[in-house]
Amino acid sequence: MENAFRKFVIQITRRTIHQTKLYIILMFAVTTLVSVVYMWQINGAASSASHAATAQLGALSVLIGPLFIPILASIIGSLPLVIFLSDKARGVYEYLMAYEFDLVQIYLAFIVASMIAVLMFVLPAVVVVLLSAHLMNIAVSSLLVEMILVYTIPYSVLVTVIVILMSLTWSALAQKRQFVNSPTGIAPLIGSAPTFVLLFISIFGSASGDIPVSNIITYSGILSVFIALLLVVMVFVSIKKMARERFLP
Amino acid sequence: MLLEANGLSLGYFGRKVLSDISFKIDEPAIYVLLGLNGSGKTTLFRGITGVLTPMSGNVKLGGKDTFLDSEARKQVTYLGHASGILDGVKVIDSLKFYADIEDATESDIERAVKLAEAEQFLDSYYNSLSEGQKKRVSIARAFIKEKEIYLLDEPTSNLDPKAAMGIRETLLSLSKDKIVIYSSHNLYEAREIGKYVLALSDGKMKLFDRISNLKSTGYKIGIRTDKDPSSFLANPERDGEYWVVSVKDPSEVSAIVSELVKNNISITEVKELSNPLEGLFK
Repeated sequence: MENAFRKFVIQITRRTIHQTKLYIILMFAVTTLVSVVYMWQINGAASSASHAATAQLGALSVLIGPLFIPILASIIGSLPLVIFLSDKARGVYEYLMAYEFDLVQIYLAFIVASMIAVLMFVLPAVVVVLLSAHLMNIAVSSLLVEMILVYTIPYSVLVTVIVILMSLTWSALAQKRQFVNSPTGIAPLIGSAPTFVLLFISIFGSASGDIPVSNIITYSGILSVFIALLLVVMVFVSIKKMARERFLP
Repeated sequence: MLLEANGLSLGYFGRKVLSDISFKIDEPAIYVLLGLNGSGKTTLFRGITGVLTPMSGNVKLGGKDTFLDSEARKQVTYLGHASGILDGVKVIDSLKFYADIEDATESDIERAVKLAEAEQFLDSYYNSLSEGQKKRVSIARAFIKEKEIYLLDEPTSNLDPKAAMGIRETLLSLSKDKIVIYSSHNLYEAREIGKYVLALSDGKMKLFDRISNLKSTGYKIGIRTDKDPSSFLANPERDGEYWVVSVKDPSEVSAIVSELVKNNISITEVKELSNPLEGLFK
């Protein structure tokens, strides 16, 4: 069984990457652009500010990229849903269940595929952020490393699982296709909403000096913990709502 | 290998479609599953394959519960209405995926593709195929590995007559040592190749018997002739090119033919138009 499951995961992952590669490249380009533009602009502003403000703005400038990455990760994480819906309509899961698969394995395959697609975006994006900071002579502070470890990577992974679980569960629940007018469609937005809040707090609160940059790390950590708890709830909801007939065409 | 259903009830989202279905099958043969639309034919297939959770009862294959035991399910091949072909990959890659899952070999794929006459579609994408071509690919998927039990839900629908004939011949050949359960709305096809009939009606198993045991309440015979034979036939009706007469027993046909020949009427065709399976749905 492990062998069949592994082959299924590989198949889903291959198709996910094949069918989302353009999207991943575009997201990567957007991240790079946003990071570079913010570093350049904020550093320009910092050069005309006081010493304390300079330090605050300098630190903030390198955090924008890591704060921005999870937003796009939550969108990329939902892309395998298209494959799920198509396969479901074509009876792929009917035949897999008739063979030896169970619903948990089908869910797991999509979670793994989503995470791989997201990591294919997140890890190079983090490298680009670090590289951009280095090339622009911006000191890479411990805040940046903390942000990446506490928030960017864990949040991106966790939110991916939540978004794909939410989408799979809801699309399996729906009797008819609801396209974007359902949690299936808005799952990426639900997943990315907290990251927007954090991003705005960081940009406006920290740039004005009202919120120390170090607090942003704390808020990010809290957000990661919150999303981990939400994931536990989602797993329970998904298991409860799983029914074999929901995977039939 | 014994396939048995014991008090099996199945349905969707708590709504029962089939109730208390029981049967035992161990003779290799073609078993024709008949029923009106919505009678539960597909649901029964899904129950046998363990795709649906039984509401009550069970299905056992060789003594193993097909819902609980994946080793039992591996003995069954299932062709449903949906193709199972993957989106966004070539047909051959999709078949390779199923071959991988089922530990089938390249030669297994070649055999299944040849059987389904799907060789020319292997490098195509599924969406570019016609309905008949899609059906052939689905058949190739279902036959990718040899099994003990074949569950085929309308396997010849959408196929052209030549391909349908090929599939019927394959099923007849398979049925020499395998159990083939086959659903169809084509009663003539069912009678032609089936040995047993399972009929579903109102969520119950209405009949399980040899087709040869079914008694027709009457036979309708179609006769094509070179001139009007109506004056020599009892209450004939016209149906297209046929003169249709009703008889109580097939043995009456030879007397009718003799009477027409004696009166210099040339007969070009005699055909049985009624089918005892039709009686199941009246």
